[in-house]
Amino acid sequence: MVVMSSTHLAQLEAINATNCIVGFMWGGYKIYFEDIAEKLEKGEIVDVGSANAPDYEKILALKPDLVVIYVTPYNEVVKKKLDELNIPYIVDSEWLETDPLGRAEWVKFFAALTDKENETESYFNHVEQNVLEVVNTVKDLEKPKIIWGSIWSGVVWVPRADSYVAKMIEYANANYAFSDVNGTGSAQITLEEFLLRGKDADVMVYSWSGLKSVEDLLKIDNRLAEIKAVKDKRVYCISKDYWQLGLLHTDVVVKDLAAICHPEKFKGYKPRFFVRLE
Amino acid sequence: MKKILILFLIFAVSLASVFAGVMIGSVGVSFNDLIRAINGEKSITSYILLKVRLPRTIGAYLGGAALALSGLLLQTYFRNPLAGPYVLGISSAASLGVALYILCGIGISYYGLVGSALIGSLMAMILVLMVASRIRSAVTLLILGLMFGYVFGALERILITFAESEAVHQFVLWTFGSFSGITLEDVPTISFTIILAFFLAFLLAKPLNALLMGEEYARTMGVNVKIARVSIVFLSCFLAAIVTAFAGIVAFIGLATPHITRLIFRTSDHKILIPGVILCGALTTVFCDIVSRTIAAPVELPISVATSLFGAPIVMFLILKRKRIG
Repeated sequence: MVVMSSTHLAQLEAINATNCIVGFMWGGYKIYFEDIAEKLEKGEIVDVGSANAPDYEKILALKPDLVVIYVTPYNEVVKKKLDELNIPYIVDSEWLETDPLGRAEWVKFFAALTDKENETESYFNHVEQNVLEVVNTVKDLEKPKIIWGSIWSGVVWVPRADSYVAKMIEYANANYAFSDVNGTGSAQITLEEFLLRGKDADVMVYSWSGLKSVEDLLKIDNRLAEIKAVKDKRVYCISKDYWQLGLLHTDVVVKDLAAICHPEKFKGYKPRFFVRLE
Repeated sequence: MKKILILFLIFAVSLASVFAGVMIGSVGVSFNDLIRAINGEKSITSYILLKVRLPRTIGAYLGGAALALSGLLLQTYFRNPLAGPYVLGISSAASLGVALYILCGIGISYYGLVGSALIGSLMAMILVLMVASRIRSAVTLLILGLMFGYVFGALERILITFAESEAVHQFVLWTFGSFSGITLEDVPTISFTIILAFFLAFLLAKPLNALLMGEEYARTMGVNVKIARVSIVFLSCFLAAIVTAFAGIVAFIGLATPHITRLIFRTSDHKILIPGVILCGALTTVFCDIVSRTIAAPVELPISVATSLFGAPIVMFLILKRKRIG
């Protein structure tokens, strides 16, 4: 099997089925799944180029039974090319899910492809149970206000109200500052709106992994200092492996978020996929 | 005389647009809020008015004016209505600078971005100036400028191909362009450099008028073509570089405003066109900035969407109405 994205790696990792991977549309970024990184290093898994422009010759040479792809408006050309070359492929739409549990449930899709249904049940039930446990733990607590986003040259991006991030915030029993921005995915919003709604936000998550301190954050835009969470130093950024290992451990991400929002209930707990800025 | 009157009228409207830029936004404010903000009252509304909207609007005003002037200078010099501030590779070079900064993981700070874009575009400017001082044909310069742009673009694509998707995402956000990143502390630097460039441009009005008939004609009129060429290229690239550094790539203004201005003033005299294009560029950009942040508020559209979407019909309307470009 040749896979396209690190989310596919996460799903196959979850059901111990990474042995079936022969190729990966990698393109060279850092891989946090140790076994996969090792195999890529040794050449046991072939790097077949970037997800937007894979090396079709290499894919053909691997003679895969199946190529797993996701299709966005930006990479439709890959699907067309696979059609043209008669390479069998299957489209995985897990990234469109608006519920983190829904996303995790896509392991069933990979299980069906790899005859690993048994592992799937235990993995998914475990994740689901853990998430529900977190939901039960925090459901009667007072909801803090959370603001989530990233800013770059004054351009602010936040997850929309029906995105999986908004759903995770709901699981963690917090009020999301942009719950009125309908739709899935993210939206660009005005800086003034971000500051206005952040004025009384208890917690802030900066959805980028490159930050270490609040000072770093203020170097991006010093006006963020008006946000309450920044004044209180309750700012977190996502960990470097969030987009890989985080997708494998949805339950831990939800628990982390709940712990950030309700630290009094999770005393001594150290979030795994969120890093508090110093 | 009539043209001077139109200039004053546009100047007045452009000042009104700055007032509108401060008053209108996704967060509702009243005139009293503005008075309170000016009186130094501390509140989030005052903060938004003075620290978010005011610098952004001033940035759009001066930035739009600068891009428009840059476009006019290059359109006149190349005698090509399709020339714009980015035609000599300035934006591609700024992009490359930012791509190196973000995609190679050097840093993430706002001034890092401004600095890397500025270094990129100034390097390109030096390159173009070196060419401009050696060659004799405007067309050769135009083609070489375009080629530089392609080379910078290609280098940028290489960086994107090997970068992590998260960094690529941040980079793409930069290329959208926005005046929102400009802070009150940046305003003196931006104002000083851009306004100084405006004064220098006025000195070029006479040689620009002569260049309308081509370099040979200008030479016979006693214009030192080499100095004129280098000055025009320097000023236009410098203006584009400053704006791109602070606001990213803002499309359309530099290309379209000179046409709008020529159609409004019905003249090719640069003594009128230079102030005209500065004011029209400022007015159009402030208007587009207001539209981009209010039309779908709190969602913001990239400024280039607004400039293209609203600018193109204006140009089409004026051209069809007058049936000729000045």
